[in-house]
Amino acid sequence: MIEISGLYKTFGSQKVLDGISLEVPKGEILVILGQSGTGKSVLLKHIIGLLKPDAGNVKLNGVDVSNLSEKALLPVRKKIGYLFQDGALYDFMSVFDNVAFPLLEHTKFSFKEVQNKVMATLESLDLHDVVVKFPSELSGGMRKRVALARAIILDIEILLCDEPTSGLDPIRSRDISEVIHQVSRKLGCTTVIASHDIANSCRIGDRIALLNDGKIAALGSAKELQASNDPFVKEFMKV
Amino acid sequence: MNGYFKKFYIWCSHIGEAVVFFSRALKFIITGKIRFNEVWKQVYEQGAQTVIIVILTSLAAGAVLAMQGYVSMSRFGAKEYVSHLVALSLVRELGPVFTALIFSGKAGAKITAELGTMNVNDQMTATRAMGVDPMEYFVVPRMLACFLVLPLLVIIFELVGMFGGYIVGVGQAHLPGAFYLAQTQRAIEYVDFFSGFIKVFFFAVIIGWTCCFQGFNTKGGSLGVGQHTTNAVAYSYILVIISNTILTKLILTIWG
Ligand SMILES: Nc1ncnc2c1ncn2[C@@H]1O[C@H](COP(=O)(O)OP(=O)(O)OP(=O)(O)O)[C@@H](O)[C@H]1O
Ligand SMILES: [Mg+2]
Repeated sequence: MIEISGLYKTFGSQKVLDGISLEVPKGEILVILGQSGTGKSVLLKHIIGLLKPDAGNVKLNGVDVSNLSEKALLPVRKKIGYLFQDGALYDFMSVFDNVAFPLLEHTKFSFKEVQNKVMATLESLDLHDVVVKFPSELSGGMRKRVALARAIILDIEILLCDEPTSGLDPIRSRDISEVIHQVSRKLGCTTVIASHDIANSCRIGDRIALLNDGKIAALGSAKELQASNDPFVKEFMKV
Repeated sequence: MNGYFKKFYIWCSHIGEAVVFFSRALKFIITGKIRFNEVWKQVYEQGAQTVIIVILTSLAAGAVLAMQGYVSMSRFGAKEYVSHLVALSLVRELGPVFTALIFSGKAGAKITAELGTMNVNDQMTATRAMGVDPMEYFVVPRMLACFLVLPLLVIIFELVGMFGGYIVGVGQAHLPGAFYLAQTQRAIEYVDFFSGFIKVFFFAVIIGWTCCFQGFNTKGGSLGVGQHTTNAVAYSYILVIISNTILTKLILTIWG
C-alpha cells in the first residue's frame, strides 16, 4: 500500500509537484499519465526515496520513507522493483549478470537457482537469446526489457515502472504490459506505472491518474476517465 | 573580495565533503563490510593496467641513473659506487614517487572515469534503488585495491630499476656482475628501504581517496566525466608531490 500525502517539490524556481495526494491500495495497478516533463519520474523517485520532498510524505506499507536516512532506506528498497526510464543497466555486466544482480545481493540462492530464475524471467520477456550480450549491444527496447527483468526478479511488494513501453513497437508494448500485469497479480504487488501509452494503460491499469501542472487533474478507472467531460482529460484521453 | 570569499567558502565545503566521504568509506572498512570479490577484481584490473608502464619506466629510470651516475662518479674516481647511487635513489625516493605518479595517471584516472560514468548514467542511482549502497559496492573495493596494489608496484619498480642499472653498470661501465649485485645489496639498509616505502601507503590513500571522491561526485554528463577525471589526476599529482616533500622532511628528521 502506498500513501502519498501533500507532496511538494521544487527544483530551483521550478515547481514540479504541487500538492499531490494519492493512495494506492495493496495489489492495485495505478497508471500515472501526463505530458512529458510534468513530473511523473519525479513522483516515482519520491516513492522509492531517491528524492526528498520539500513538504508532505510518502508511506509504504505504513513506513514513512520521506524521512528515512539513506541507510534505513536500503532494506526498504529490497522489496521494491524500480524500472528506470532509460534502464540504467550496468554497462560493464552482461545481461545475465545484470538480471542476477539483485538475487546475488539479497538472496541466499545457489548459483543453479539463480540461473534458473534468471533464465525463466528472461524467457518470459523474450530475451533468452541475448543472455551473454552487454547492454551496449542491445536495442533500446531490449534494454528496457532487460531492465524490467531486473526489476521483477525478486519477490517484490511494490513495483514502480517508469515508461515501460516507450520505445517499443505496439506488439511488444502490449506483451510487456501483459508481463507487468501478470507479475503484479502473481506477486500481489502494488504497482505504479508512469506512461504516455494510453491504450495499454487503459488495458492493465485498475485506475489511472492524470498529472497536470504538478497536480492530479483526474483520477479514476479507464472508463470513468474516458467518459469525463473535463476538456483537458478529454483532450488527453483522445485515442 | 566577495567573489574570493565565496570561492574560498566553496573550496572549504568541498574539503569538508571529502573528509565526510573518506570517513564513510573508512567506516565500511573498519566494520568489516568489505566485498572481497570486488576487491580482488579491482586489484587485478588496477595492477594489470599499470604494471607494464611501471616496468618500462623503471627500467629506463634505472638505466639512465646508472649512465649519469657513471659519468659523475668517474670524475671522483668512484665508479664502483654507481650501484649505490642507483639503488639508493630508487629505494629512497624515485620508486615511491614515480610509481605513485604513474599510478594516479593510469589507475586513478580509470577509477574516476568509471565511477563518474556510472554516476551520470544513473547506474549509481539504480544501485541505491536496488537496496545496495554504491559506497560499499563500488567505492570501498577501489580504495582498498589502491592500498594493496601500489606497494606491490613500487617493489616491482625498485627491482626492475635496479636491473636497469645493472645492465648499464655491467654492459657499459664494465663492472663485474657479481660485484655490482653485492654492492647493491650492501648499499641498501633497512632504514633506506622503509623510509621510502612508508610513504607509499600515504600516496595510496591520497590517490584512492581523491580519485574515488571525484568520480563519486561527478555531475554534468560526458563533459563532467572528463572534467572530474582530469581534476582527479591533477589533484592526486599535486597532493603526492606536496605530501612527499613534507613526508621526506619528517622522515629525514626522525631517521636521518
Ligand atoms: N534532478 C533534477 N534537477 C532539476 N530539475 C529536475 C530534476 N529532475 C527533474 N527535473 C525537472 O522536473 C520536471 C519533471 O521531470 P520528470 O522527469 O519527472 O518528467 P516526466 O513527467 O517523467 O517526463 P517524461 O514523460 O518526458 O519522462 C522537468 O521539467 C525537469 O526539468
Ligand atoms: Mg519521466
